[in-house]
Amino acid sequence: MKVARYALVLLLASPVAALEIVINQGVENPTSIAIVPFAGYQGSTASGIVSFDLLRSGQFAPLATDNMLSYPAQPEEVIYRDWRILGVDFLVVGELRDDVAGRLTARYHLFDVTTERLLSSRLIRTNGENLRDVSHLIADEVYERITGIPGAFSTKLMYVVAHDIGTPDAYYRLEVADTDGARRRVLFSSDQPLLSPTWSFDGSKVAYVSFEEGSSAVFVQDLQTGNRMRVAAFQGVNSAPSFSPDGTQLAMSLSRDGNPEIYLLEIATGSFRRLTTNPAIDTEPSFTADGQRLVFTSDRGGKPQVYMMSLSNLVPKRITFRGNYNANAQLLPDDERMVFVHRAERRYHIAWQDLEGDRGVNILTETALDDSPSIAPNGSMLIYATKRNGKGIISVVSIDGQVRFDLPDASGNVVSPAWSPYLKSSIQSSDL
Amino acid sequence: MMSQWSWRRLALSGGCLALLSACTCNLTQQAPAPVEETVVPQPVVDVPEETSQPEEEPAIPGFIDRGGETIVIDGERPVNTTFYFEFDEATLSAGDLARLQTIAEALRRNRGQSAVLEGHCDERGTQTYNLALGERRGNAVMQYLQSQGVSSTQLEVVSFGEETPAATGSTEEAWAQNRRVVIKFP
Repeated sequence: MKVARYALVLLLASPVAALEIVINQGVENPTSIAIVPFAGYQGSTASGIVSFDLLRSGQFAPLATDNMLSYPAQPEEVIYRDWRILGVDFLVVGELRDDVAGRLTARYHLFDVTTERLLSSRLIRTNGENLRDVSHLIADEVYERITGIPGAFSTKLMYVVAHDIGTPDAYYRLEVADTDGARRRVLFSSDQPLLSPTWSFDGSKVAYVSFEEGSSAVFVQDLQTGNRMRVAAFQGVNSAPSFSPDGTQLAMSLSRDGNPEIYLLEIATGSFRRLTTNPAIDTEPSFTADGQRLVFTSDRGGKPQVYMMSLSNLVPKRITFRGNYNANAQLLPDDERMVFVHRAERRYHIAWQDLEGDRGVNILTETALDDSPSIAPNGSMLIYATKRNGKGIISVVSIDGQVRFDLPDASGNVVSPAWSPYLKSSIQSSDL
Repeated sequence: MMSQWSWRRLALSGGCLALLSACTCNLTQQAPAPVEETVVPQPVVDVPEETSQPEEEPAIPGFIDRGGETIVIDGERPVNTTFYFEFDEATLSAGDLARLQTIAEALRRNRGQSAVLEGHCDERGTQTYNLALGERRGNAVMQYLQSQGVSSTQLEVVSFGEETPAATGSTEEAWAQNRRVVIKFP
């Protein structure tokens, strides 16, 4: 299979260099698409962002602008022959403009070149959102119109960058960035370890483990206000926070009573409910989308395996049966499959399996020190942490394993990634 | 009876060390201090009086402050307070137990001294499960110290999982250095 290799560096006017994207692999026959540089101020920047989003999905091969034979901005300017001879299947043209109030608006048109049909014409109105948000929305819409799957380009990635770990100079930064590595923003920094960040289902809050007080404690941070709240700092290990879908509860693993057990915190009242009672390690809880069940890791059988438990009867049921180390399960949005860390011959891979039925394990990665899988809200991609050339990086891979790209940091180790849910936007998009 | 006194004192301390698992020695002095002797009936022996000699300092483990860091001393040498573990394991070896006995005695003699048992893992596996595994290793050390009579109020286990390795690198050597419990005396 031909492997396309790209190393693309985004240099943006920001104090911290963007996470570099290194694309390792795309699908065998990507769909050829041409995103013509948009007319208007910064139009080519916008179309460039759209192209890069679609490229990273691994399912599209955007045509280089230099290879284009014409540069239409309106439907009436489109000459289908110019695109057919280049083997292009889909075409996007558009323009950016400020409205009378100075707010950015965009118009774009999507064409099916083969059938010479206009598929959609859209008007995008903003309320102060910027060019990147508009571009990602266009990529989301084009992606969904062609593949039928909602795009996840407007989502965010959260992760920890760790420097000089194990030394007195160590420092850690919890960051959020766009899925293309741009607009990095530090949420919290510390000279003690930070790990296990997780998003609330509405994207308004995050929770994570911080060692700032000398040992592990769980914190919740509001993304809007920056407010931090320490929610668990008991004796022992306080770890593995995971929000319930309705946002009212936070599951976590606490060893306050002698060994790690799963607890549920009612955030509003601060009261804890213990869910497991077993002298083994019970940890890494994660909710189903309907909020009724949890998957979690337990070594009650001797080695770590994944269990499923209904919140109504609290009876754990083992659901991994291949190999002797299966941990850190995350459910796909359909609640029918999960991804997790699976050890095979002392190599730690990300794998997926059905929750029911045969439960055969499908290994998705060739890297061997994998951890922290996190699924995009459209269920088609996941991000995980691994090591390449001795450095911690986060890597995106499609659920079918065909697409792969890495996000290394220039200097630090990137660990503990968490893919955001769909995020609220006030951008208005409508048919033209 | 100087030599007999010294001999008896050394024998008592040696005997106590050998019986650590069984005896509940009630030693209350602050280190370094001589052992509180109990009277052991001896047959009367006619031994000529000896000239006075300086008492031998018994090899009793204690704590010293070395440049701001509190360490356990055994005789004159510091005791290595790092314990290593096999992959996926939280069990102590016989050699580990012997070292821990020395540390336990120091802690028993110094009820006011606390110890933090820091548990660690190598980088393999998940960060969160490794927090629990690091604690399991710390607990193994804590439980042994408690079995040797150290009060639980003196001991605390803090797990760092794989977050603060002693050695970087993804080699067996580095990993072996990271699977450890480090005892610190704040």
